[in-house]
This record gives sequence, C-alpha cells and structure tokens, in this order.
Amino acid sequence: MTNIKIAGAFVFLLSILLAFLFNNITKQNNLNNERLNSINQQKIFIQEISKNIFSAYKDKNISNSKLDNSINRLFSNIEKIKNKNDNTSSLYSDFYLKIQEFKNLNKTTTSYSSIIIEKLVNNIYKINLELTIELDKLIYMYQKELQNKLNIYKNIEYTFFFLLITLLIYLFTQIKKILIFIQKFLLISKKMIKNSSIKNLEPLEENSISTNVSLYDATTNFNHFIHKANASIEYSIKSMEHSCKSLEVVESNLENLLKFLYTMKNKDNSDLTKKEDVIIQSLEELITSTQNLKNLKNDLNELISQKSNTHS
Amino acid sequence: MSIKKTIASIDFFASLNEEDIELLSSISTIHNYTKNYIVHYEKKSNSNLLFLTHGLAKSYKIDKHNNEVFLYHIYKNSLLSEISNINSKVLVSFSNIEILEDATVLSINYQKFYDYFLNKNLLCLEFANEVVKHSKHLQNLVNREFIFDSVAKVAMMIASDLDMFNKLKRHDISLILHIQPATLSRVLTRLKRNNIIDILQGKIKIIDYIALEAIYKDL
Repeated sequence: MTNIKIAGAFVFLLSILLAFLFNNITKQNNLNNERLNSINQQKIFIQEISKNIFSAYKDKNISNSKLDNSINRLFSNIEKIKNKNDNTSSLYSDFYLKIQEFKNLNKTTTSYSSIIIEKLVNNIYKINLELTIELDKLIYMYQKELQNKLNIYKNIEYTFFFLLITLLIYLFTQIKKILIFIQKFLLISKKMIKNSSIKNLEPLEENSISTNVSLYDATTNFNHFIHKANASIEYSIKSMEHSCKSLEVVESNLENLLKFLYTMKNKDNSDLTKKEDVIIQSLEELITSTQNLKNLKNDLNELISQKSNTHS
Repeated sequence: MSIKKTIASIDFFASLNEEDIELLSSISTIHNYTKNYIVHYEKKSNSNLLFLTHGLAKSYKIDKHNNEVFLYHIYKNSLLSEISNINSKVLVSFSNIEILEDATVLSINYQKFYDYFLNKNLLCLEFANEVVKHSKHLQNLVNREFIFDSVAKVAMMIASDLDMFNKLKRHDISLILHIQPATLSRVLTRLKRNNIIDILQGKIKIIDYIALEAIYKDL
C-alpha cells in the first residue's frame, strides 16, 4: 500500500512539473515572438529613415518632421532588442551620428556640401544595409537560441512523460492486484449473504497476492477472522450441547432427590415441604434453562445456516 | 336482547336512570363475536368503549420472539377496553384482546360517552373502579411473574378460579402460568399428597382452602 501511495505522489508531482514546463515553453515562445516583432519593427524604421533621408537629399524643402519621428521611434524601441552584440550597437551609433550629420549639413549650402552630403547619404545607405544584415543575424540567433531551449524542454518533457506512463502502468498493476483481492473478498461476502450463512466459511487464497505486503496482511487478517468465526461457532455448539447434557443430569439427580424426599417425608414436616417446593422450583428453572439453551442452540443453528430453513 | 336491556344488565351502568340508559343506548351498538376473534390489537387506537356482556376473552401480548405472553382473563360483565389516558378522547390498547368463548360485546361511542356522562360527573366512580380492577390485574401479573414460585402460582390459580382451572387443559394452564407441564404435574401431586386438594377424574377439588391460600399469601 505504501508503494501505491509513493507512486501516486510521484504521478501528482510529475503532472505538476509537466504543467509548469508547458507554461514555461509558452512564455518563452511569447517572449521570442515579441523580440522578433521588435527587430522587424527596427528594420522597418531603419528603412523609413533611409527613405526619408533620400527624399530630404533630393528635395531640401521637405520638412524633417517625418525623419525625426522615425528616428524617435527607432531609438525608443532599441532597448527591447539590446544584446551583447557590440557590432550592432556601434552600427546604431554610427547610423545615428551620420543622420545627425546629414541633418546639420542639409540645412547649409556650400560649394563642397553637395559632395559631402552625397557621400554621407551613401554611407547612411551602406550602414542601413549592414544594420539590416546584422538584425537578420540577430533574428537567426534568437531563433536558434529558442530552438535549443525547446529541444531541451522537449527532452525533459519526453523523460517526464515516459516516467509518468511507467508509474501509471505500475499503479495499474498494483491496483489490479487489489481489485483481484476485493473481488475475492466480495465473492465470499456475497456467498455469505446469498446463503444467509456463516457456516463453513472458506478462507481467501494467499498465492496470487502474496507479493504485496499490505494485501498479504489483509488476507491473513480476513482468514484469521474466518478461522475464529468457524471455531467460535463450533465451540458454541459443543458448549451448548455439553451444557444441555449437564442440565439433564442435574435434572435427573434432582428428580431422585425429590423421590427421596417423598419417601422420608411425614405429614407434618413443613420444613421438608418447603424444601420440596424449593426443589420443584429448581427443577422448573432447570427445565426452563435447558429449553432456553436448546432454543439458543436452534437460534444459533438458524443464524449460521438459514439456507436450510429457507429451503424447507 | 335489546341494547337497553343489555345495558341495564351490566353492573357498570346500575346507577343510571331510564333516561340515561335511553341516551346511552342511542350511542351504543351490540356485536357478537365467535371464538378466536381478535377484538383489538395492541397499540391500536379505538374510538369505542367496549364491554364484554357475555362470553370470555383473554388479554395477551406478543414478545420479540413472536411468543404469546398471557396477561389475564376477562370475564363477562367487564370492561374490555383499557383506559390508558383519562383526558384523551381516543382509547389506545395496551394488549391484544382475543375472544375465548362466543361473546357479545357492547360498543359505546367513547367521544359521546365522555361528553354525555363523564363530563357531567356520571359513572365516574364506576369508571375509576374499572381502572382499579385493571391495576389489580397488573398486581396479580407482577406477583405471578416476579414474586411467586411454581407452587404459589398454581395454588393462586386454583384458589381464585377453580372453574377455569378445571375447564382448561393442563398444557394451557402451564402456558398461562408460564411453567413447564412437568412442574404443574409435580405441584398438583405435592398439593394432593399434602391433602390440600384432591384430583378426581382429572378435576381438581379443594380440600383445605386455608392451607391453599396460605401457600401464596405467605410469600
């Protein structure tokens, strides 16, 4: 029985661990999706900024508000994708510096400014491409990281699941043994009820369930009870038979005593008359006791074997 | 016999005048029962007050083993019903009543009897007397079952109701007294040998009534 309790506790524990694991995987997936979403947004903002810079370069009258807006959104979102990759960080810094430089130069017009701005636009375009490549690398890295984690979780899950199945199979085999025991117990009980008899009760077989300590104990106790019941019935019947016989012997002795009193009694002997009355009363009580005992024996016989009564 | 004559023949109603008897007869009916008829069962309520005007009945209870436990005989001119509660308008019987000889029973509506007579202080003394009689029956029962030995039981029955003793079979007497037939036979032999009774063709004759009475009164 202790084994079943321990196995049950393990099943419960494994179920909780599996639920926790599923929950953790879901959380990791959500986090990863959020990161990928942020990186994709970054890529969009970088493209927007590059497009706005190109437009501003072509037409200096265009307002910088769109460009500023895109820059603000890009750098407000940058915290979400922060990682140890220094290259991306330096590219971001470079990108920001070049944009600021372009914004400053684009407002002024000198003889060299168009050449410098053109070079600056080309640099921005180049950094834009590098950043896009770096961000793609970042996406790939996160996906790989997630995949590794998922593989680990999957292995743990498989292990737990295998353990759970093993425990359930073990539990099932143990419960099957208990069920066999209960079936046998119920069969005997049903037999007792059907026959309305506790006479000649059959003990449970011990062979098939001897491996389980608790069931073995239960079987031994049940069999002990049956042996006791059988023995008690046998002793009771024998005791009552002996008592009946003893009472009959006493009755016969009292009868003899009464006859003896009759023969020795005088008419006026009131003392002997009283003694005779006492003996008559004793005989009456003796006969009543014998009858009560016989009735009791019959009641016991009926109790232990009512089947014969119902048939007759 | 008419209801009025039947009522007049019962001692219980001796104190009533013609008018009261007329009134009583208007709320009464007469029933004839044959032997072994159960007039009422124990613990059952009855709305009629019953008088045995003719015949013989017995009161008994049933024990847990379904055995009959004899309580007492009810003779003619006696109240059959048991008064368990004087304030109640319904009579609840303590024991079963069975007719032993073909009997005539006067049945009176108890509710109306209560209103017309007991409430007007008529027949109250007679009613109380019946309760006392019932109490006497129970006293005899206690003596018989708890105080007397076998000799005293037999002596009391012979002394108090010799006709009934001679009428009944020995087996029935032993059942009534709750003693073994062998004991009854021994007691009768003992009484005969002591010249207290004589047995002629199976019938008992009392020779020394004082000695017979002394057996159960001395206890």
